[in-house]
Amino acid sequence: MPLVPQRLDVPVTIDASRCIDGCTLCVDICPLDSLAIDPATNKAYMHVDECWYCGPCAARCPTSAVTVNMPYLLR
Amino acid sequence: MQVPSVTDRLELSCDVLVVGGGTAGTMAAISAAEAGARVLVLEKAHVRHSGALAMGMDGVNNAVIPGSATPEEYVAEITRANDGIVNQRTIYQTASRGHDMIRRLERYGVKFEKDAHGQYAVRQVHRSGSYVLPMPEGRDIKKVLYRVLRERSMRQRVRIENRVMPVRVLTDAGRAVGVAGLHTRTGEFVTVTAGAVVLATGACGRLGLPASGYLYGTYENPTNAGDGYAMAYHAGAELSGIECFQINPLIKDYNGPACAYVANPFGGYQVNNRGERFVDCDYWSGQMMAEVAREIASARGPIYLKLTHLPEETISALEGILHSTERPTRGTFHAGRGHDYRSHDVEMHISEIGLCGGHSASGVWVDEHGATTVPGLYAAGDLACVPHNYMIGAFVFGDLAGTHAAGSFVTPASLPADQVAEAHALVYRPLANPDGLPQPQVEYKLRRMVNDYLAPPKTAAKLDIAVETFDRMRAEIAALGARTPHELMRCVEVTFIRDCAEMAARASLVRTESRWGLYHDRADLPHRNDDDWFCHLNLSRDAQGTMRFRKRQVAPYLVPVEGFTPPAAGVEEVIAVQPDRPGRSDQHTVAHGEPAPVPTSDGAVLAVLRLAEQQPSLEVLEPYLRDPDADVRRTALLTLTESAPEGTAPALVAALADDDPAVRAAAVAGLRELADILPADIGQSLRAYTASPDVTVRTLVVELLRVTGAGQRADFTAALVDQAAGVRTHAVRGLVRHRDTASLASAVTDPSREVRIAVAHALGDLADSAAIPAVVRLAADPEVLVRAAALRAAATLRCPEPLTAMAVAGLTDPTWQVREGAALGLAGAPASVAVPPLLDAAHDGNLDVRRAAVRVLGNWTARPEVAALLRAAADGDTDADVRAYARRALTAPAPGAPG
Repeated sequence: MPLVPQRLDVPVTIDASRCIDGCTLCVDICPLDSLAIDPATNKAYMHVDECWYCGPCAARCPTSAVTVNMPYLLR
Repeated sequence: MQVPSVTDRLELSCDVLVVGGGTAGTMAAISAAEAGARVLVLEKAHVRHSGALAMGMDGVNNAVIPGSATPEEYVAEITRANDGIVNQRTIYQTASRGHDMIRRLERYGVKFEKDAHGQYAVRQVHRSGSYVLPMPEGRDIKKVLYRVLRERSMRQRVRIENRVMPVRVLTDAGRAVGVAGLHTRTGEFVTVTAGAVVLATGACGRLGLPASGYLYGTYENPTNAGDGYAMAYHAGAELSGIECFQINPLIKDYNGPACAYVANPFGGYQVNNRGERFVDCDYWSGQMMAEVAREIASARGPIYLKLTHLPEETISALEGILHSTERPTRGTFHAGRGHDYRSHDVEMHISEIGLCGGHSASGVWVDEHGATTVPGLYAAGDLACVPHNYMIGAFVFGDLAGTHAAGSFVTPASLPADQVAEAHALVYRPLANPDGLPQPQVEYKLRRMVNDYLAPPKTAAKLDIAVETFDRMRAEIAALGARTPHELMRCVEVTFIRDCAEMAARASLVRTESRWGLYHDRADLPHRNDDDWFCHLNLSRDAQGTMRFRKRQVAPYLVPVEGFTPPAAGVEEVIAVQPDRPGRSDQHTVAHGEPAPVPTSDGAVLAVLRLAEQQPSLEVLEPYLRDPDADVRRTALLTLTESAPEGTAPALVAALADDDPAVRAAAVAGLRELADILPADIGQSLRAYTASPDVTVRTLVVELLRVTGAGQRADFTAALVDQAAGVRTHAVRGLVRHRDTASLASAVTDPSREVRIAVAHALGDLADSAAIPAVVRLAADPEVLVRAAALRAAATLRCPEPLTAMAVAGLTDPTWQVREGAALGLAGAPASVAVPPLLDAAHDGNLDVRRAAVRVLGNWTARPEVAALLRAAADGDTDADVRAYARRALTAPAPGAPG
């Protein structure tokens, strides 16, 4: 069956200049497991558009690198 | 990734297995461990932020606190809210054990709101029952529970495995013996051999599709896909009330609670587009949801949470709570649309449908110990059918289930190989088909069909289509494709959702009547039929894989409830047999995947964060608390608060002197959070900071002196002349405890309006006649809200002259707040003076003034002119609150004092 990649706007964004190399706090705690570390950059990013906009990733980031926006469909 | 073989798996064992580390699950684990069992907790997310309380909770809905309510009143209330279909024995557990549970949580460090006298500040939110206990600092209750789970004594008995999702409960000769599932990051196959299994997996929150169309924008935490409903069903357990859906009023599109519970005591309320309150139902129920749905669909729709009439300080205070607790992105949502509580009332809507025992009644059938009909299998929390059990009920039933399981587990010899193989097939089938249907599309379609054919109003014809659709979608689900462990998790969840949808459709078809308002609104059978349906409707899967229904008799009530009488003779009738096809069990292997290596580096912040998981001692954290970098010190304080080892309080207090404001703020937040578990001698060390140049520090000091009871009268009289109004407000509340009328009276000329309002409330609380001159002064204050508060305080002072005259005059004040305060104050005046002007006030143009007048007039129903007015208001007022209070006054046997 044919599959296509699609562009999606995702709600959680990470400021790579603040994200600490080696820290996985936001990845560890996301209830939906939507965050991951990009092996190319060692920075966190949102790997799937699955978000309850609950916010611990932003609230507990030690360098305030994480921003939770509303998912586009709800904005 | 590759499909692991059935034998290549992580094998775990324990006495008591708890599935789900949320509210009920953590409590079950703690209680089972305390009872001596070896406990394993499996959590598909991370226990620290999982379950319905992932981001905290701003209040308790069902606190039965002696003095505010009795267990019998609570049981009767929940019976009425469920149209009589309850097992009162289960509800009585929550009613009778809730108070002890609140005190237990408080010992752990959870904060509940107290009034000025140090009593639980229970509030009446709905018109009947006083069960709401705010938790203004409850934003991180999971932090407290997680800390308890990791205390040394607990860690020896409780093992936690995060990111592991069970998919089936395994049974042997009808008894639960363990589970099988997967690690959602590595994809590893996992089995657990357990002497007892407690399912605490929460609601089925991903059943209906939210109006936004966003799969995860659900009312419930979307990790809760109905896992436990499906697992209990496939294990052969009975489920009950599945046709009684969960539907809640919400902020439209944001789909989070509008928190009327929070806004209501501040003066907010729900209105239609004409500004009228419209909910006639006195308590939270499907009837109330039906009224909400009808209003939205009518010419008076949409509906709003009205806040724009409130003063700036009240709105700021509300924002402080609503935008930081439970769902903190509420503020982000409103800001994104350019909306503000000052200028825009909040549009509300009703949620998608779900299954949830905690909010309605749909759940796994349990007895008063949380035991299901399958030996060795328990259910607790939102998953269990203990109607309207909410958070306190989840804790109570977690405790009951954990304790009972620890006392009766049976260690099994082995796991059934055929069931393990079936679970393995269920998990890994999509890997064989990496180009198969994507889960987001299949799930979207499934849940869109749920909205189209299952959401109320229901009809047999629509439900038939629903059953056919969900059956047809088995094939589409079998064609799902996945390439990663994460996708495997989501694919299994789609099977849970489908199972729940089918159960919901079939149960809704079988109950051939309407009941529970909107929850089971059968448009084709609009009436309640007590002759045939005053019973539970339970369903289960038999050994042949067939869904069977049975009527279960409603057990005789412990507490009689007027208007509801369970039928005496029990007809335990098997009703319907529905075909149920077992899933395909073929397996395949597929190509490799690429797990990302986790990079490491150091840096002090990182080091501190890593320590957090290990429950570090203060000694270990000391160097970081003294680090030259403020970010490190701040992170160390957060870690310290998170784990709260011995010596935490003095270390946090010492940090109040830090040069960096962000570090001081972290210390302030930590101390505030741990207020209830601070050592008794904390007062002395806090006093060193009463002159801190940082106002947040001074505010904290006086607040802690008050809430810990360590504060002396002199502490508060000194704080009463602080230059910051926030400090002075706390001082006012502290002086109430010391019954210091004279000092309070000296503050009536305070330059801050908020302080003077606090003084008026305090003088009303104290009800000391020496305060009358001060209240008179406040009743002539230039500020509207101060005058209103002072007139209201007159009630407890028996409203002597000149307050009586001021209150009567206040009833014609141009501002509604003063008119409302005046009406409430007149409750203390003699009837001959109060009744005539209140009869006029009951026709006021403002609905809050009319409500106040009607509530106070309820004291004098024996007077014919009052009774006549109340009868007219009960029938004819445009405001639902006014109608309800008038009705209640007329039917109440002995009128109580209005609040």
